[in-house]
Parts: sequence; structure tokens; C-alpha cells
Amino acid sequence: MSNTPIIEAIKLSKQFTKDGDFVLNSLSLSIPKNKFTAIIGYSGTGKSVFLRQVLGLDRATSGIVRVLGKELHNMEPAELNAFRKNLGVVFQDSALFDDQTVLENVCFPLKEHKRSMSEDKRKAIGSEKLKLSGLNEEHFNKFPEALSGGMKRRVALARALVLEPKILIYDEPTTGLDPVLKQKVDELILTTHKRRSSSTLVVTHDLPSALHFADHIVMLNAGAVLFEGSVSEFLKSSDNLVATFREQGLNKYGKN
Amino acid sequence: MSALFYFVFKMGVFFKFCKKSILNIFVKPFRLENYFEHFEFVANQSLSIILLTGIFTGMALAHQMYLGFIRFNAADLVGPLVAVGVARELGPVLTGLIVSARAGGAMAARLGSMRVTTQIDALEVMGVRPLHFLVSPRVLAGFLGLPILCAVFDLIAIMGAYVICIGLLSLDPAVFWQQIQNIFKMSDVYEGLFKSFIFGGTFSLICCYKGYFAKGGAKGVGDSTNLGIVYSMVTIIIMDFFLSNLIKLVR
Ligand SMILES: Nc1ncnc2c1ncn2[C@@H]1O[C@H](COP(=O)(O)OP(=O)(O)OP(=O)(O)O)[C@@H](O)[C@H]1O
Ligand SMILES: [Mg+2]
Repeated sequence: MSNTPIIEAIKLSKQFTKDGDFVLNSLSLSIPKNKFTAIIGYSGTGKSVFLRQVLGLDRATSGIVRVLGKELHNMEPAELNAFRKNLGVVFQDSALFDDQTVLENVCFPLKEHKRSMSEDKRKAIGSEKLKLSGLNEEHFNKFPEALSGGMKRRVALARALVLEPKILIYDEPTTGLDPVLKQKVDELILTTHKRRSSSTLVVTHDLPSALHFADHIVMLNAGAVLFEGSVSEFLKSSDNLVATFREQGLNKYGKN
Repeated sequence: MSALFYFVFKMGVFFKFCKKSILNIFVKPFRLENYFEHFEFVANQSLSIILLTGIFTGMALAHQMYLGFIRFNAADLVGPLVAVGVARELGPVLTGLIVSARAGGAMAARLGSMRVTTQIDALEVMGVRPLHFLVSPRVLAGFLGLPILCAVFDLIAIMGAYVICIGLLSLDPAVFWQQIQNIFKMSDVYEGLFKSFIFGGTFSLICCYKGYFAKGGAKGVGDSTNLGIVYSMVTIIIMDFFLSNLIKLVR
């Protein structure tokens, strides 16, 4: 049981229109438990589309995706909603509710899933998660529009953590941030992973970051898995496309 | 042919959306503060604009009718005819149109911006059904809010007619009320309230649908808001015709 993958895709295919291209093309992969996995690849290779399948936001044309051993699409709505507590998601643009304050945003999942919990208790948990994400109390009663991009991601992370999910998922966590903030958010992602010692999945096209924090790397290309393995295997891989992506990705940031 | 097929398909999607949103009103958990907030937004916040438009509609209508009826020496009938016309037609239709633009536009814009900024996806992955959380309370507020506004509109329009008839045209106030009692029936009011109940559901469902499925960034939100309002208004006017006939048939 302990070796079952947290996320498993079997021959997953997705077409948006009947005779359109396959955005996911018979994609199979398995993401190991309690590891930090990065899904990388060029823009437009289907990373976000794959993530939507994992989150059950969209349905594949064919194939199976299992999360923690379950197929989301076969679940009853009530069961699915309860199951989703296992997934904490930080969306690319944070997706904070703009009519709620920072603290209300973070307490929202608790309010919905732990209805019997007292408001004080919720607020205490919310504040704790916000502080762990590096946000101090002066920001708690602000609305999201008054926050910088980096702060928003911190709030989104706190909100994703508040139900102690088994899997923490980030979609492009650092796109659109300046280099200094980017590094800070990267560090936060890594410390959060280490502290929780559970599974983390990051979807990104930022190779240096991915190599910095991941244990396991999955590279997608044209809707299929091009490479799957450890970081050292990735660095050694002699596949042409992998090598090209590796060089371009690393050189772009002047690192080696 | 494919355009027709597409239209039928879209209507199917829309009616499925309507069915789900309405059924979800009766599904737990009931977030009372959420229901209250939307009801307050649709009903209470439309009150001043309804009062303002209501009184002027009543006054204008009374004045026009007077100018016509005085030719037949039937000025006494102005009161009841304003009352009947407003209660059965103008009340529900005008409140429907005004509230579509005001509250319906806001619904479409709000849901549309939540859609394009992935807030709706975020709700869903948190295990909160977006339709249940966002759409159903708005639809309920539409269904319940509009009849109340319509009743207010009816009342204030008759007051407007009274002000014109008595104040400006110096008709006899006792005759004004007497004629209303003779001719105007409560069933006229019920007919109007029933219509506005339907219109309230109509505009909120159309505007929520448009917003909920908005795509294409800020432009998409603008487009869906615009279309939501336009479709609501046109649908209300068309439905009014058929509802009037239907009610006549049923009676
Ligand atoms: N709703 C949609 N309808 C039609 N095509 C879509 C839709 N969503 C995505 N696509 C197509 O699927 C392909 C993969 O998109 P996806 O967003 O998964 O790329 P990505 O790997 O996440 O890229 P990036 O790194 O830029 O985010 C793209 O070619 C895109 O045009
Ligand atoms: Mg993407």
C-alpha cells in the first residue's frame, strides 16, 4: 500500500474538439508518494490540461487517472467533495476570493468542511497557516487586491494547507514574479514540503527551480511523457529533446 | 443546419443548468447569510430605483389616460385602469427589465470575473459545488425578490396616479378609490406577481448562466454581462406576451 502512487495516469488522451489535435496523447505516468515531483515541459505541451484531469475539473476523452487510488469521475458528488480535502491546490494566479479578506479566504475551506468547528478555532488555525507562509498579522484583514503577487501566493498556499491535504499541488507557482520574490516563494515551497513530509506536485516550466526542489521529474512533450525519473537521471539523460530543454532552461537563467 | 443544431445544443445546456441551479436551492448545506446577502442585493438595493421609476410611471400613465378618457367623459376610470394596467403588465415587465439591468448585470459580471480568474475552479477543487454556492442563492433571490419589488412598484404607481388625478387634474379622491374598488381585482395583482416570480427566475438564470460560462478574460466578462442583460430583457418581454395568454387560458 505504501508504494502505491498518489497520482496515476493510464493512457490518458484529451481532444478538445472531435477532429482536433490530441492535447494529451496516451499519457501514462505515476507520481510516487511522499516525494516532491515536478512536471516540466515547454509551453503548450498539456501540463495544465493534465492538471485539470487530476483535479477532476475536466474529463479526458479516454484513459484513466487515479488520485490516491481513486477515479474522481466515478465518485458520487458528495463523496467527491469530501475526497477533495485530500488535495490542496495553489493556482497560477492564486485565485483568492476577492470579496473576502485574507483571513476569511484562508478560513473558508474550514468553514465549509468543518462546520461544527468554532469560529475562534478556525481563525486560530488560519492565522497559524498564514504565519507559516510568512505573512504577518497586519495583512490579515486586507482584501486580496491590496496585496502584491508574492503575498497573494503566500495566502493561496496558506489556504491550500489549511485542511492538511495529503497532496499539495502548485500550478506555475512563480510565473510573473520578480527574481527575488521568485526565490522566496521557491524557498517557501521547499520548506513547506520538508515540514509536512507529504507529497508535493509542482507544474512549471522553470527548470532551475524544478531541479532545485524536486526528487522526481516528469517531462511532458506534445501531450505524452518524454522523461520520468530522478533529478540525477534527468541530468544524465541523453535524449535529444531532454538535453535541449535542459540546456535552454539552465542557460536562460545564466546558471549551470 | 449546423447553426440550428448548435442552438438546440446550447439550449439543452442552458436548461440543464437551470434545472441543476433550481434543484440545488433545496440541497444542504443552507448558507443562510449567503441567501440573505443575495436577497438583500436583489430586493433591498433595487428599492429606491423601483420607487422612483414606479411613481413616474404611474403619473405619466394617469396623465395620458386622462387626456384620452376626458374625451368620453370617463375620467373617473383613470384610477382603476392605471391600477389594472400596472398590476398586470407594466409592474412585472418594468421591474423585470430594471432589475435585469441592475442586479442581473452585476450577477453576470461577478460570476464572469470569478470564472476567468479561476476562483470558480478554486471553489470546486476545495470541494464546494460552485453552482450550489454561487448560482442557487442568486436564482432564489431573483425568484423571491422580484415579486416583492413588483408589489412595491404597483403600489407606488397607483400613488403616482392618485397624485396626478387629485393634485393636478382635480378629480374627486373618493370617486378615485371607489372606482378602483369597483373595477380592480386582487386577481390582477396575483397575475402580475406570478409573472414577476417567473421573470425573477428568468433574468437571474440567464445572467448567472452567461457569467458562469464566461471565457476570454476581461473582454469575455464584458461580453457575457452585456449578453446576459440583453437576453434577459428580450426574454422577459417575449415571455410576458405568452404568459398573459396562458393565464387567460387557465382562468
Ligand atoms: N479549453 C481549451 N480548448 C481548446 N484547446 C485548449 C484548451 N485548453 C488548452 N488547450 C490547448 O492545449 C494545449 C496545451 O495547453 P496547456 O495549457 O496544457 O499547456 P501548458 O503545458 O500548461 O503550457 P504553459 O507552460 O504555457 O502553461 C495548448 O495547445 C492549448 O491551445
Ligand atoms: Mg499551464
